[in-house]
Amino acid sequence: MNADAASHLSEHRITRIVADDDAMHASERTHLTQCDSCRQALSELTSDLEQLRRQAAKATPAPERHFVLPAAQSERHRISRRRWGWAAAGSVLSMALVAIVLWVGGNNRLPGISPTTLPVANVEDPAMIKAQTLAVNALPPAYLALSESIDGGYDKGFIDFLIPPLDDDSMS
Amino acid sequence: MAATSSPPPHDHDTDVSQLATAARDGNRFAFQQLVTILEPKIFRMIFYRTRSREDAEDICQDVFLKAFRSLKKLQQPERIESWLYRIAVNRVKDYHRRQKFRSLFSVLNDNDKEDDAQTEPPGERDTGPIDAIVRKEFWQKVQTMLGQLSKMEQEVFLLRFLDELGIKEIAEVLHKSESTVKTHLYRALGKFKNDTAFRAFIKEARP
Repeated sequence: MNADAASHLSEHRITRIVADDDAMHASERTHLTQCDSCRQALSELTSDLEQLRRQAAKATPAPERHFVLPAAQSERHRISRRRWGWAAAGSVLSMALVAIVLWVGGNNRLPGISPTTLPVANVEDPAMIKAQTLAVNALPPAYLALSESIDGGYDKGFIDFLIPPLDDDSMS
Repeated sequence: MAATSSPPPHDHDTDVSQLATAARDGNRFAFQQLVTILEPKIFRMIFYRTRSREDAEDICQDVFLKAFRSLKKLQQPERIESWLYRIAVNRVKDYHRRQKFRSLFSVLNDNDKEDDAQTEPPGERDTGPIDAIVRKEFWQKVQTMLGQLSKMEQEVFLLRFLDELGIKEIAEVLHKSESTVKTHLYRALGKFKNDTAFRAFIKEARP
């Protein structure tokens, strides 16, 4: 069955109907039931759009990463942070305790307790004598001279002239 | 004849709306369910506009993160889908803005493109090379067709025919009046209708 060609739906109307289902008037609906040509034009456009949608969906990969709620992570972090907080507080407290104990021990020694001393080494032992000699003369003579362990022969007055001592108030 | 009791029809919109209400009230499980339902749609929507799986994944994460953080502000839970699309549209705009900025540094951009080509064509990790070529050709043709449309026409066309949103929803997503959306949609569809080469390709293509 074919309706009168004069009453065919215009391209513009077909476009509107495809874009928006609500745009179709009752008279157009009636016409479509009778007109093969208009029905074909409408269904062709609709089917092309449907085909485009399907192919686009097919040509789209599936995501490999999915959304994970951040709150779940932050809950874990919160627990972990709380643990670290307790650990830090504990270590600070213990360090403070150690410091207090050392300070009290240093200033207010309890009566009857003397500081521990190492036993004096036996100076007659030849090995110890050698070790002491080495310790005293550990540096070569030139270095000892520089460090004034050996008198370098500099005149103290000359040095004072070059570098005035800080308590010199001659300039004031 | 014994009456068969069939389960009530599964109403997607009602489910989403109820889940959105529960999620807004602090139900994390409801939000996770919402993500499960809506993530594929939102991901596809973003991919159609970026053509990069990794970028689409990143933007999709941003969209749901933003939604999760702003969920308390959602006044109409039944409109969560439109709201997510709106966030996604804005994120995609930001993405294209960044891409444009990047393209100013053409050397860097060329290097990026080379890197992309060498590492992984979008979403082709588990498909054969022929499929990859077919898909690439498909998206090139789509791009050529969309190139004839203005930005607004492109957006409206994609939202209507690829993302399957109604005109009212599109108006909400784009913050435009329904009549504006319709105007752009009619123009875009008219151009699609007259692009006989693309329509012929669509009929033959099999991505």
